[in-house]
Amino acid sequence: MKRAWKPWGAIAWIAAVVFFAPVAWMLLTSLHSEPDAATNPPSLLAPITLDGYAEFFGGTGGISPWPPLINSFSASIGSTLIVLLLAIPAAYALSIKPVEKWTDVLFFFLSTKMLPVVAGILPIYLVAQYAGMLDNISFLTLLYTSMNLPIAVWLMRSFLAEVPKEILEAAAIDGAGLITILRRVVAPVAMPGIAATALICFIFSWNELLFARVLTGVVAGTAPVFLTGFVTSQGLFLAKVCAAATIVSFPVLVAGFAAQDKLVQGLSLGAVK
Amino acid sequence: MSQQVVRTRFRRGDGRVAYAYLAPALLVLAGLLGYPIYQLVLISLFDYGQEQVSGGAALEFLGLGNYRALLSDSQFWTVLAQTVGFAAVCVLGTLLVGTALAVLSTRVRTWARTLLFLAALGAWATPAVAGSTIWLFLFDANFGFVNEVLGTTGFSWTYDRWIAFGLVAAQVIWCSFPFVMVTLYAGIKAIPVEVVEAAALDGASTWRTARSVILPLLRPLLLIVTIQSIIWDFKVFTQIYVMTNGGGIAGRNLVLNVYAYQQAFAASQYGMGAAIGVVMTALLLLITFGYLRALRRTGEEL
Repeated sequence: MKRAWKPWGAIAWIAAVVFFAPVAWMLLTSLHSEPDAATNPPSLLAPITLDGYAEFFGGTGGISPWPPLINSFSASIGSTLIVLLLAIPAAYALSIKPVEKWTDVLFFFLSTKMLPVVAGILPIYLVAQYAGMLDNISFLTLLYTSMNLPIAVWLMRSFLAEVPKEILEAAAIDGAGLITILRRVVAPVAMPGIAATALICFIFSWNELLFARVLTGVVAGTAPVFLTGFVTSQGLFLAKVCAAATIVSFPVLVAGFAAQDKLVQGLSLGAVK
Repeated sequence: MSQQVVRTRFRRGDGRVAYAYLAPALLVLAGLLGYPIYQLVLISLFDYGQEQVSGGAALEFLGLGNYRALLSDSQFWTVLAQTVGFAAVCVLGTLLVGTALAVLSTRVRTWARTLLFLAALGAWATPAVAGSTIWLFLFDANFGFVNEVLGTTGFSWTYDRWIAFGLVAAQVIWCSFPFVMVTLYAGIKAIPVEVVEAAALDGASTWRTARSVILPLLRPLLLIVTIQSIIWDFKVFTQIYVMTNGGGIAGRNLVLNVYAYQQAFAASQYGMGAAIGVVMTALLLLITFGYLRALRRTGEEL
């Protein structure tokens, strides 16, 4: 038992290296000068430079990447918070209070995910136009909320389903209200689940491209929209493009590590008994 | 038994409260997604092009005309078959890799686990456009790193129809396995330690514990990641669009979502694009519903 980690550890290292290779390539290229970046595969020994990043932020006559980054932050964080606020009570209702035919309710949540974005975009564009919400980050936030809500409800319900019912029922029978139950009983037990759900919602919103591309313009454009434009206009400058892609990926990595802490938190019933 | 009693007692009078908890989420969804779906179906019944959007021409009601044209188009059927096959490979691959790495992460030391998470997060964090572009560089025929390593310089990974599909599928798996991995990892971690310890104390082997204790607890999560993967991989867009240059030579690497995009935006036939969207949604509903039914028939509680 104690020694069992050895082969697994080696496999884990190999898997990590293989799966990380494309990202490593991106990082390395972003740190090279343009002529060095143009040699493919990248030479490991080429001198390191931050020119790509400087170009991306300073922009020789380019547009500042800050407004899109800030837009992405507000849309992603805003929609994630709203999603959690809506999804946790809904999931609680579905997993603990037995709502009649809850599988049907879940299926309703699910089916809204099936609309292909490409096909759904015209009607949503028309709605936004009608409501005067084109190029508006609040509308995008709302849209991301509805986009992530179904998966969040499903995930939260499943995580809550792992929480022993007896604990929750005991709390409810003792007369605890929803907020108290969620805060004192559910939250500690379901923390890995909440962290995973929040991370997933954040990443989906952060990386969303199609809606953002069609519904926003100069004011509310998000980071992926900016990146796509950057790839189109600067595509030949590999180092610069890789620097841009790295910057856009960075917040997700940070969010991931923040969430990993909570994910890894092993959980013991001793804490809630 | 006793749990059954408690649950029955619960149900009475609590239904309304439960619906109250559900209502906000349901309302937001109905408002934000219900109306567009209604609009989509409506548009699919019209000859709706650029002129109609700008108000330059009157709307012409076609009834099921768009659908009839679509279903009698042989390219649609080819694309449909390709989409189903492609999605199936992606779903299986994503689930296999994601599950394997989730289990692996629970069994290795902190260092190896952190590294695995870093790799997963890196893959996940890379925006689809950038990820696809990077993969194209890595697999470039003449200068690609992969060809260099394999000693196959000059070999094109995007020319042959099936090899191109395989490469795109690998990219899709690469950027979607982290979702499965993180979800299942959190699911395994959320299982109370006592449950697993009790099984071990009872003398159950690791394999036995995994099968009879952990797997049943993870079933709802497995169901979600499977259905979510089906939905995504059926709707792959960016990777095909970027890596096969908009659907490959003569459109032979097309999948439905890219096909819908071409019909709707490139050809400005929004009515036709909407019809494809409706057909896709209906297909996905059928597939997932069939999957749910099949699961329920095996007597598994969802």
